[in-house]
Amino acid sequence: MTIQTLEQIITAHAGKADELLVLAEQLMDRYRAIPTSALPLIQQQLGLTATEIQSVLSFYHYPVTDAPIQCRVEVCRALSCHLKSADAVLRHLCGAFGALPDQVTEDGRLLIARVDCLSDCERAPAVHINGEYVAATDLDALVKRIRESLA
Amino acid sequence: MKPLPTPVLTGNAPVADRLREYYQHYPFHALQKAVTLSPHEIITELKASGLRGRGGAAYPLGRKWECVLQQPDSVRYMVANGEEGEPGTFKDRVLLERNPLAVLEAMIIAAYTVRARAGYIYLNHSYRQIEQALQTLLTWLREDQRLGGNILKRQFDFDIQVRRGPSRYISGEETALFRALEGRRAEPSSRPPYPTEQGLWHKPTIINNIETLSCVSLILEKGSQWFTTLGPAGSHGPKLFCLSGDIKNPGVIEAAMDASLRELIAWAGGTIGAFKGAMVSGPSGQLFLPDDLDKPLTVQNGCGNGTVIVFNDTRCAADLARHVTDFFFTEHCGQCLPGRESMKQAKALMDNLDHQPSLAPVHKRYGELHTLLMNSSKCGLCSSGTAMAPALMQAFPEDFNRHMHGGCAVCGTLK
Repeated sequence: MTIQTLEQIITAHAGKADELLVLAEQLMDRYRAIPTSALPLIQQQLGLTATEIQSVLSFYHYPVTDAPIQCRVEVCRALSCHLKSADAVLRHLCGAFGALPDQVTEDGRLLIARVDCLSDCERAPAVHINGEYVAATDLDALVKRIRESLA
Repeated sequence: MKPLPTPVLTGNAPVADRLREYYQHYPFHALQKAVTLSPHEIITELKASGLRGRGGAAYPLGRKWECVLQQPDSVRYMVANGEEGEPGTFKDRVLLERNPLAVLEAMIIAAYTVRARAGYIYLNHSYRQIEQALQTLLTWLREDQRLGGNILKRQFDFDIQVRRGPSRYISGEETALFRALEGRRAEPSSRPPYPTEQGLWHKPTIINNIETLSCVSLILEKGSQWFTTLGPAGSHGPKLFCLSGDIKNPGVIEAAMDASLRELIAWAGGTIGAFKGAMVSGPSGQLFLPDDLDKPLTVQNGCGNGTVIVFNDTRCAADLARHVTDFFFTEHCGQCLPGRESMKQAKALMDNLDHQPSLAPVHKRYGELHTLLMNSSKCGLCSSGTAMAPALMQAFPEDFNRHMHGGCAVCGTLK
């Protein structure tokens, strides 16, 4: 992450407070979290107060971290996935990486998040790794895939 | 009864790998016809089709567009709702993967009809590839003057922005979606005023579900009379049903709304295990039991958005009720006091289920919370979200009693 890139992303929305969520999604796509260093820039460029920004980011459960997250795993917990053992998938992944659901690991590299709903119900249980659907039928393969994205 | 022999909404294969070819061969018949008609003629045709919204509320589409057309304010917006946050719902994703131009075409027709100058497509946060495909299609549409200024030399201007939103169930509620588009918390607004009067940026706004818009293109291309040949009165046209859960071949089935639940399940390969029940229109919809299997899935019978989550006889209804309650507790916006407090109490009821002496007071209290929400919450999401658990208690009391007396082997809570 370089300050210049962050600035470029944020200044493209200068003066457009209504684009806060568009900006947040762009930052998520790039950094898989909202960088802490982005907050004052967003405040300055979009003309919003810190409270307004935090109010929106927390409502949508955006992770705010100092450094980018290397691997963001989303495990869908909605009903169709629940019926296909999404809870067991979540437990397995958290156990394999010593992670807690919805919390960034201590090294700051991995987040296993419970989400509602990924709209992949016909392929339940749905798991997305860095935004891409990955079949969760083979748990060992899933763990391997996460390890590869962390390498 | 069979599924539609030639699906009209989902007939295409996914277009991602052949987007240019798909664009070049797309006929735009509906748009070409629409620009030869007056706004009133378009609305008359849509009203004659009997098309109702496919997002769940089933509001007549022609009436919605007419309301916007009648507004004195000349600034109007067109919004396509592709948030699709209801568990078990994925039909809009399939439509946008297979025939996105039908949606964009319908948005241009809507804009032409009510003279909207700006439109937005709001997508579920996980639809990244769809977003990219839509951006490419929008570029080509602008190059061909089907979007932008002086569209098709008919002296109307309209452009569309794609917005992929963060994951929150509440964002699918139409007034909450407006707030999300404005970059704010997706908190619903009280109605009236309705979105047709004061929607996005407090201006008259058409907001339609993705599937509804796909039907608009079909109606203008094939005619309202053709549309009414499918399905019974009040439930005309093709409908997408999303089957998931304990089903052998989960996926989207396109059928007329005189199809029964039994037929849909059979077309999807049958139930895994013995059918115990289904949540039709998702966890916020209706509980269908074995006696309901032959009911046609019409608007009147509660087909809603077409979601069907099937569960078999190995499932514990108490586990399902707890899961549904957790979902709505997590996903409600917390804005209004009735919603906030009732969802907290509903969750506490389910969390403490195993320690209750009997089911009757739990069922009664949960029902009271549902009624309270029906009468006083700001939007319909919390009230519809608290209907399923009491229905499960009513239908399967033995599952709940098992939790209260000795524990449940299915849920692993044996004492």
